[in-house]
Amino acid sequence: MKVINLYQQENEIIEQAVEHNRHAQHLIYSKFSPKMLSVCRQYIKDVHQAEDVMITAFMKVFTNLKNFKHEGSFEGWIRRIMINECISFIRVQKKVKFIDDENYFEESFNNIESQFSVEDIQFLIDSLPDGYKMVFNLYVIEGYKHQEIATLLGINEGTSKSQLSHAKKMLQNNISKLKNYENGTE
Amino acid sequence: MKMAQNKLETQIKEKLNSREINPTEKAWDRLDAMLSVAEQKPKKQSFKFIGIAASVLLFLSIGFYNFNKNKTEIQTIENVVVNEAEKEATQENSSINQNNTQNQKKINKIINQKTQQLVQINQNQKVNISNPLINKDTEIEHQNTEVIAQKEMPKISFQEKIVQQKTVSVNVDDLLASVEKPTKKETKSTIKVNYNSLLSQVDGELDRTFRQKVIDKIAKNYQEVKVAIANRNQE
Repeated sequence: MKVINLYQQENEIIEQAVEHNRHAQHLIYSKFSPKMLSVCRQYIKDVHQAEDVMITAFMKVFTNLKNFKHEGSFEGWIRRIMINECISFIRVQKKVKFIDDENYFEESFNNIESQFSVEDIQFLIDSLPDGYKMVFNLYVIEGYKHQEIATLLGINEGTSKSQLSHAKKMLQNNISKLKNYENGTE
Repeated sequence: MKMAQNKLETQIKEKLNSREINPTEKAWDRLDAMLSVAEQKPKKQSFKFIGIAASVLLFLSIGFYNFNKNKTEIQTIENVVVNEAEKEATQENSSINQNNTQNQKKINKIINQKTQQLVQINQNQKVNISNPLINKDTEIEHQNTEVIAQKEMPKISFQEKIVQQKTVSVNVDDLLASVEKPTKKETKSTIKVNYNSLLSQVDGELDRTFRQKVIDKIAKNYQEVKVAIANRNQE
């Protein structure tokens, strides 16, 4: 019952937000902005830039809210808008160019069972180049398929795969470095 | 191995997805400002739309006005024709009136002649020395004759008979004196009578001629306008 009520409430709030009800818009913003800033932060190292991107993405959310079909979760819909905005920001601002690299081998993480803090994980991802980072985030965290990533980034599917393997390899190295650093400090 | 991979990947996924970063308070204010700007834009667009619609209407109306202007010009020409025709008609009227007045003058002359005849008749009657009473009577008689004269001129002979029947002796000078003044009245009154009767007689003829002439003129001018329009269209 509670879930149904919450769902109905969300739909009502969305309908109000479509009618430019600022209160409803603020409710949606305050509900999703912390998570969405986190999503943007995955792609953009600078928190302020991530926040700027998040704001523009929320603008798109509210201007296109009437197009939301209530198929799938509202959060998922907002999240996709956030990711698209982050990707376009990175590609425009940083002019990321993907080198067509079909030569790759399936990179896999070594036996890493140690627990990392979110800050460590973010640090590791931040250390990746933007191209690697995007593919890694989209594939590992968002669960996109290579075909989807290829169309989203305008690259070949093979390039997406090679980018991911490079990203994983680099992460592996960074994790071992981090571990060594932690061990060294211990 | 694979489990470890998945473990690390799932760990990264879970930890990042469960993370929340609170945006700064200014972030909402900025979004609020952007939203209000975005909401004003559609209004401006609607104003623009109204402006475009208004300008289109304006141009259409100007075009329509210019298109109809030709028609109005034609109408004015027709009006002028009618007015000219009316003027001519009025001129004719005035000429007819002149004729009327001339006729009236002629009639007045006839009346004067008749009154002179009356006087002569009276003179012919052997009249006794004047009495003031008789004078009054004669005046009354004259007035009667005036009235009768006003109504129907051809029946003056009958009036004469009446006068003769009454056989009153009148002083010639008095008669003359009394007659001179009424004759003036007669002229005035006869004008009225003749004017009305003449008008009533002439009105019918006038109307006919006026209508015919106006219709002719309009027909002529209509043909001229038709030709002019045809020429213009050909050009």
